[in-house]
Amino acid sequence: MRALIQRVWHGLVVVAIVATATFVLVRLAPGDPFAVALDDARLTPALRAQWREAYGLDGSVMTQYVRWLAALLHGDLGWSVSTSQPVSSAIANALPNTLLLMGTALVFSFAIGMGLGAWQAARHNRAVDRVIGATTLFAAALPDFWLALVVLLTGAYWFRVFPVGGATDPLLPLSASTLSIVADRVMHLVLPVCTLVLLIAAPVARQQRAALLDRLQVDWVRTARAKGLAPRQVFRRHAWRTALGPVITLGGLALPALVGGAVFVEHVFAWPGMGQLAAAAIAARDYHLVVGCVIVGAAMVVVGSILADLLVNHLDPRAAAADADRAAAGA
Amino acid sequence: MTDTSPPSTDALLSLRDVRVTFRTADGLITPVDGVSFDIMRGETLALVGESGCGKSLTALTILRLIDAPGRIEAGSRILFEGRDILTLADKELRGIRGRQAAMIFQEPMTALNPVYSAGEQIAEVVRTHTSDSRSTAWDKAVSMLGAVGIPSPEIRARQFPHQLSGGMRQRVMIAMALVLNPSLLIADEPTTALDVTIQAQLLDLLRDAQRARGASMLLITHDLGVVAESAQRVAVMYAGQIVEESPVAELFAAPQHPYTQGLMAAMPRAGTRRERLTTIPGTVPPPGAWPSGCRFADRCAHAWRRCTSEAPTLHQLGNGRTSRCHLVLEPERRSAGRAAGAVA
Amino acid sequence: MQSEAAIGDWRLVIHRLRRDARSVAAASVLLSVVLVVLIGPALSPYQPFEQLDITNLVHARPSALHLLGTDAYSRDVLSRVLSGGRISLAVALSAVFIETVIGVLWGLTAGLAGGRTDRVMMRCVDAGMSVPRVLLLLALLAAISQVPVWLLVLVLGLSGWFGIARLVRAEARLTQASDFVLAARALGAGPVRVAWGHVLPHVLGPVLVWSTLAIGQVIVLEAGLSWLGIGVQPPQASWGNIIGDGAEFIASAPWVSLAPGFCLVAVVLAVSALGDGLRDALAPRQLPRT
Repeated sequence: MRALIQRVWHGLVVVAIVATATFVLVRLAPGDPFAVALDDARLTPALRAQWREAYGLDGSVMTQYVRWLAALLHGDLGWSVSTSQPVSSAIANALPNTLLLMGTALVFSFAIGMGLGAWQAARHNRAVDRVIGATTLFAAALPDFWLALVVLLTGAYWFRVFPVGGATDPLLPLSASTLSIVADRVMHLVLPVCTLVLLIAAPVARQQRAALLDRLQVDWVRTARAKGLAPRQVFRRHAWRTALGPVITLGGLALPALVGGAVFVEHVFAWPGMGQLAAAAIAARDYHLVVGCVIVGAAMVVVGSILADLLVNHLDPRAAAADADRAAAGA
Repeated sequence: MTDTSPPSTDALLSLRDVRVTFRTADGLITPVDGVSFDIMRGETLALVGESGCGKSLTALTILRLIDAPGRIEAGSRILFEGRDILTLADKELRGIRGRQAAMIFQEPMTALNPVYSAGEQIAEVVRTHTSDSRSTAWDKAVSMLGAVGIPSPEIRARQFPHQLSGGMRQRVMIAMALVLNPSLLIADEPTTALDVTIQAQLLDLLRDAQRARGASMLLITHDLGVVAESAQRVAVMYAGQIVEESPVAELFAAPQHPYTQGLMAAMPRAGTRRERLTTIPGTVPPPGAWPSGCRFADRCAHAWRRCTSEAPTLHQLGNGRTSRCHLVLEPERRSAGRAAGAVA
Repeated sequence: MQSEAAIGDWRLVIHRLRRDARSVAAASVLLSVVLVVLIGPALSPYQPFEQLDITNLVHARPSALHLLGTDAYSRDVLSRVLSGGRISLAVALSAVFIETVIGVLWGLTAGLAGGRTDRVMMRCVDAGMSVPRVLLLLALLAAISQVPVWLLVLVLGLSGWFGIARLVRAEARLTQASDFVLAARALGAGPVRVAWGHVLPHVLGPVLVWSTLAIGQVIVLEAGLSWLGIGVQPPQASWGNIIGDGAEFIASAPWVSLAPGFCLVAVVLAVSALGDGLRDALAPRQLPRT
């Protein structure tokens, strides 16, 4: 319990550092929404100054920071200039889409990746193992945006099966049946999820294979066989069960990269998620929105790794014990 | 060199000419090369030797726990309770493992699964072989933990291996082995990884448990002190072969094989006036590099020409004693004046 | 994970590498790519920025004249790919160099200093690792309209040293507690000497593996950024922005995007294989116990 509280606290500290750093860095860059977007001679400097003040973009970086921090503690992320709504609303609209995409992709990737890795370990060094191994090595080296392009090309252009982009079909009537709404959503999900799965399942499979091969050599597997357990039980209870930890830990560590990869994938498939939102915000110099997106991104990563750690603790009592020790020692 | 006598049907366990090979990067090696012995009901046989002599592999072979790249060679025979282990179907073999013949391993930290509690692991054996429910199996596990001398067994049963001390973990392993009342216990260096005080306690525990159940035990060790305490008969192994077999008292009183004599002399003994510990000169040859004559010849104080050219067979000495040495046939060759193995 | 071979054993490491078919293949691929990219542009008949014939040669299919066809501005794709290769590789190498230097220094300092300094420094590393690198890069670069290459390299380097800092710090702490360091200290060696002479050699192995793998990551990252328009700026080609140029026309003129894509994949694969090979050469996996 104590370890959990400590984790959450550390997570908050990390998010705070990230938010501050982003805030400062973004402010340091030249230009602001009003310089870029409105190149109209009728807008006098005085008017611009007035607008700046209205949007809280006047004063030194320090004052802006303090003002922003105060607002943040009230749950107010500021106003998004480019989308004319509170930052929190803009994010609230985009976040569920990203969660849907990433959630689906994660579930499938882990299921497929772990299955492949286990299959490889069971057929160690035989043809199956080598072929899958080569494929995962290949897949793990693919650049995300390029793969997204190739998948789009194949799925939407060459074989005109799937839609070209977006999350939903804008032409679908509101009165359409639930089934067709769900079907529509699924069709739009397929290509981006496939891309992400190809990208994520590969390293998962590699890690699972390595962890399992390691575990299969281990003494307690021999003890299990000496106790008379059937091979399947030995594999499942003694090898696989103890190999889960490293794989999940890997997942936790890879979260930032995942979120980053999702940005490119969302861009290619015009998926209306956080990635798109962040990219658009940056292009429009919409500071509050940019900072908001980065904070949410970091928070997602932190939450994800806490969840991963909790899961590992549940699965492996040694990890839980080590955690408790660290918490007690105040590390 | 092969032992062609048929396996004994009176004995609980009978090994004849067991040979195990391994395919390595450097070729085929034979770390267990023609091992034969019998274990009667209720008796303890100690299998003694240095590391690398093949004793642990012999133990694993009894339950067919040898994996690729290792192989049990044709011509080996293992009879357990009259059944031929090497031709048994997998399912029946699994029925024997853990129930009629159980193993206790050396390193309790790694031999126990770290993610399951002690109780769960013992209950696992029970549920594998019987149709007991989860709670019945759990109760049996807890009472077994109590029987092996663990205080507050209900609490300990819920604990994980990393929360237990080395001695306690080994007790858990012993409990796992004894819970279904096997007729044969195979203990592979059960106390080597633990400290001397715990060693004595655990050996007593094993001995008592064994006697109470009328079980037999194959005790593998490199420590002659352990042998003296716990076994009725001893087989000494060297370089993949048995070089001497004897009832315990006779072995200690008058060891026949020069290797055994060397081992005895090397035991540090309180009360002697020696200043330097004696050792057997030279080192054990590795399995890939066994000489064609007697494998102990280059370290033996008595070796002569016959020893390097002709490998000795296992000679019967009467009284249930054997020795794999040419000195049995030519006792006059035994060089007096040099204590076997003493550093000159 | 300690490297089994310290700096004195480099010969052994190279010997092992030579025997590993996968590493040799990977190294050959990389060397060939580097050679082609260095010499190619000099040999190519077309200039990468040269718009050849805007009326007739737009999106010409690959042919004997133009091995990889032409793009939307009738530029020869092959020359662009070669020129882009130079920049992409140069950027990746320099950025990884910067990351490695910063990361090693940070990690060594934190690991050897211990206590409060270590905790604070590591908290920063944690923060850095929690931010998706892409988001951070987007935030930093998109604010500037024409990103000069040196700035791109700098920013890439500054955003990627966290992982290696953590690795080095862990190694430093491990090594610090070991006997030979204690002996050195007992003989009067100061902290800098300990760091340089004793800890660093031990750390070099894993650092080298990490850096090799990082090159692959950075190449892909730069390509992605260039593709989005905030990396290498046109008209200078980079594999990323060539793919970007071709993205719109992916159905009608796929060769524009596919060619640099394959180059990317080949280089990243080779780099990953080489990294794996290095890791194995430094600490060969143990054979199963019998």
